[in-house]
Amino acid sequence: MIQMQNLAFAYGRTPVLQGINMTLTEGRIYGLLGENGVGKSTLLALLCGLQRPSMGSISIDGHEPYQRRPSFLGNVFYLPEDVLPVSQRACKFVAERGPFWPRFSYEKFQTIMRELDNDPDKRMDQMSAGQLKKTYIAFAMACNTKLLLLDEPTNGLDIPSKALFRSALMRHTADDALVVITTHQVRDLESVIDPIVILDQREVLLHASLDEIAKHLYFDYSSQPNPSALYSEQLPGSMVQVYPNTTGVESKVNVEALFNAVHRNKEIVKDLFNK
Amino acid sequence: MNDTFSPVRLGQYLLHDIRHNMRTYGFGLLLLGLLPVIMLLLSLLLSLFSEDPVRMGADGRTVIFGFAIWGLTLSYPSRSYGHLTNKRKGSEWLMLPASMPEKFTSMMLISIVLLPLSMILLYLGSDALICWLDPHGSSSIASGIAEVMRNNSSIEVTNGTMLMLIFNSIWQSVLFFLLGALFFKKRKIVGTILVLMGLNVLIIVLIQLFVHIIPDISALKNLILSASDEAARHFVVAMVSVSTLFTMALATGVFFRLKTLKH
Repeated sequence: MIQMQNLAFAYGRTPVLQGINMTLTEGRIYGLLGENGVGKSTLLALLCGLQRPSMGSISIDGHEPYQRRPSFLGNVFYLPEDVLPVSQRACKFVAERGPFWPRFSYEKFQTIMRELDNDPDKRMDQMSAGQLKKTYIAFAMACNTKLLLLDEPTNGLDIPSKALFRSALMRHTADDALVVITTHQVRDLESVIDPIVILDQREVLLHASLDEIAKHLYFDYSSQPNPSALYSEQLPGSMVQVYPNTTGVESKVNVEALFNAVHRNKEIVKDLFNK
Repeated sequence: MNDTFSPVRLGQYLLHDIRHNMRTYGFGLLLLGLLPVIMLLLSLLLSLFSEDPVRMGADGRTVIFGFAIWGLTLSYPSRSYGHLTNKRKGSEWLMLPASMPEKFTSMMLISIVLLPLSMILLYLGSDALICWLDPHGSSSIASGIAEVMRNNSSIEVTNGTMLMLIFNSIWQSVLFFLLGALFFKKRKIVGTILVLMGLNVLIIVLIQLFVHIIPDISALKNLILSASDEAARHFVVAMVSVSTLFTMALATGVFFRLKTLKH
């Protein structure tokens, strides 16, 4: 379990995050959404101990991440947005580093590489951006860590690979694992992320499960415009409109529409969810 | 799980670190260690254009040996550990599950024991081999060092203290350039040299001030010259101790820099 209390972080004198209070629990795949520069990647860097909070605290199963103790690091895998094209064959790279993670499985790495249609014998500096990303994704999952932090994992992946990634994520992460994914490509991961966390300038705008969201907001896919809509968007052949759920009828959450509705009606949404 | 120091994890990490060093600096080490062979080939090449054979004397070879060691201490740290200030590479290093004391110990074992020793042995070995193959040439650097040590009858500077002073200066150079590699994001070697020059200027100014403070400098000079052998020996031991403390201070600086790395 991750507990953040009054967490704040600044790059020099520029504040990035302020007063973040959040609890993330095991067995879930969190989608961390937000506009550019709101601090999504910084939050991941704080969670894995690459950065130190300016104020407040983070506790991950009793560990303070910045202390970077082996017992903590052995349970975390952080996949950055930009990955390294190492001048080594993928299988050798992974065989050298993997054993540092106590539950690493080389066989699992090979299996996921096969599932992702990637060649483990290829040199990593000769791989395309997508192949390189898939190698790191396979490595991340093969480490069997309790906490998996993925920064824009679908960037650089082609359309079939995105589907393969989703299925690998569902199949190869343990039931008690906690996965945090930051993404701008919400459609790529809509079917796997739940709960949703939306970060705004320095604060958390929304932190709710899909069930909670469906209880509070109604996603209308009909073509009848609704004047009370918080957000509406014309889709090919239909519309999607978001408005407060007053009837109690639950609808399918459209994450992209949710994100836009929350951003355009920050106070209304906060009030709705704080009721 | 021991979170501070596990010998097993250290061994595992050390092997990983050695492999990394071989990839990043293996060729450089080979080049420096085989410098006598390269010099011989160059002199043979020059001999083709000269009537007399071009041959380097023992003094010249010893000077080049000194330059080779200096070249190692200057280039190795930024080549092998300079990547730690790079966001992508540094993050990967920080996230590898081993404790900071283990990563630091491995770095020290390689930087101040394995690497200099490998380079010196390779250099002295290739130099000895060349001297053995060329009976008309001068004696090897290794036999020269052995002779100096055999004939050393000084009470003040024993072989032990002499070696400690030499190794301390090598370690200090490695550690100073390692600190530079861990602090500067770009132009690591130039930056470190500039800092070193700045520190030298500062030390010279401080010494000048100190000399001016002393009312009777000639009395101090006489005191030093008339010191007994025992006092001189104590002075040398004190110098070695101060030098060792400085080496340890530099190593501590490296440790704290590693501990506070952020990306």
